[in-house]
Amino acid sequence: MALILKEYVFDRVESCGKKSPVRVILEELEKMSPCEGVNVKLNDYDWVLTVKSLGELRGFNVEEEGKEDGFIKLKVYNPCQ
Amino acid sequence: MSQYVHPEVLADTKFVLDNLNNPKVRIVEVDYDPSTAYNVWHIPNAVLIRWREDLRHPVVRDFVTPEQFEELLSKLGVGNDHTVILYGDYNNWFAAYAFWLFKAYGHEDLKLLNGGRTKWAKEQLPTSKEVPSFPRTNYKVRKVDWGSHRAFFWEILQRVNRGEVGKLVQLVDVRSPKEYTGEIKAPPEYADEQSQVGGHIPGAVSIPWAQAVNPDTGEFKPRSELENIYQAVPKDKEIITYCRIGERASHTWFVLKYLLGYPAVRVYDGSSAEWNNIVGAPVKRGSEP
Repeated sequence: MALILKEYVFDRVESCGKKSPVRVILEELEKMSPCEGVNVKLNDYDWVLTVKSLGELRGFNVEEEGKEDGFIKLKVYNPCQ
Repeated sequence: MSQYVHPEVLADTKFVLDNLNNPKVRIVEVDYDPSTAYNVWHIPNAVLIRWREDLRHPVVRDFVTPEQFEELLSKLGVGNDHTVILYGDYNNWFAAYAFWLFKAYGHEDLKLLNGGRTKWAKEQLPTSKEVPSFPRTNYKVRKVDWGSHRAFFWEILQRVNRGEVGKLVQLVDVRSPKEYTGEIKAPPEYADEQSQVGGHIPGAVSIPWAQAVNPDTGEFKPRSELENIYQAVPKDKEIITYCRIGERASHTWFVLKYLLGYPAVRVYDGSSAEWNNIVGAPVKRGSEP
């Protein structure tokens, strides 16, 4: 069971910052230990696809956990050893 | 798409698919962060323009010079007579911003892919990771027209101080409601990028950019819905859009100017990252213009 250390909500209406939401999520995960992760809510389909493909490429587990208020919920975590 | 005032500026996925290998067409992806977009997948034969490294001036908060723009497009194999189709990350924000810049620098045959990466992905259309290479061209900037595209801080300050906002000019704030009211000074998750103060330019109306697109496909809504969304924006006044750094404002600029045919629309690209950090610049908080 992954330990969720952070929760993010990236709303495409206003997520305008120096780093893309995908980069924010993946960089945070790289700082975490095995079995630690983040919950993320995204309402942008392209970002969801990218988190899944890049996350899995980098060895993270990405689980989709349904939708809420138009946001897709993801749990992304380092594999438990 | 024929319902829009200028349907020729929109390309649908079928048009792009049918023209992937057309030598008269250049497909250009414009990304803020290619590592999470173009490098993951892109439309086959699309070349990449990196918003920050390729279009922003290397020193000053401004855009590349016409000479730098010519060199960029020449190197990418884009010619003056190419049909250029733009799309990109962040819901086509930076593709729309690039559209604005391309137009300011006079490129004529220009289109935006309706729905961008989201629509392409949802339709499970072909993708590639190969970086194409096209013969170098001799691209020339044939005109520079900032006057009908861009608004600067000092003009807007003068308009506000003279009480002209809402009378001769209408400002459209396309940020989220919380950014508009001043409840937040930066988008959530970007707390280290807060402006000095929150709120909006006095007199600006709030119409978040995302109201113009279908949330499931990323495509622009039909003209009748867009007319309804922007009914508070009069067609007989000058319109200036703004957001935080100008990219969402460009998206709405595109909608107003090309889809709805507003005759006079410009982007205040300095936006709130400039306005809300300037000593003495008037700012209003709350939900009223």
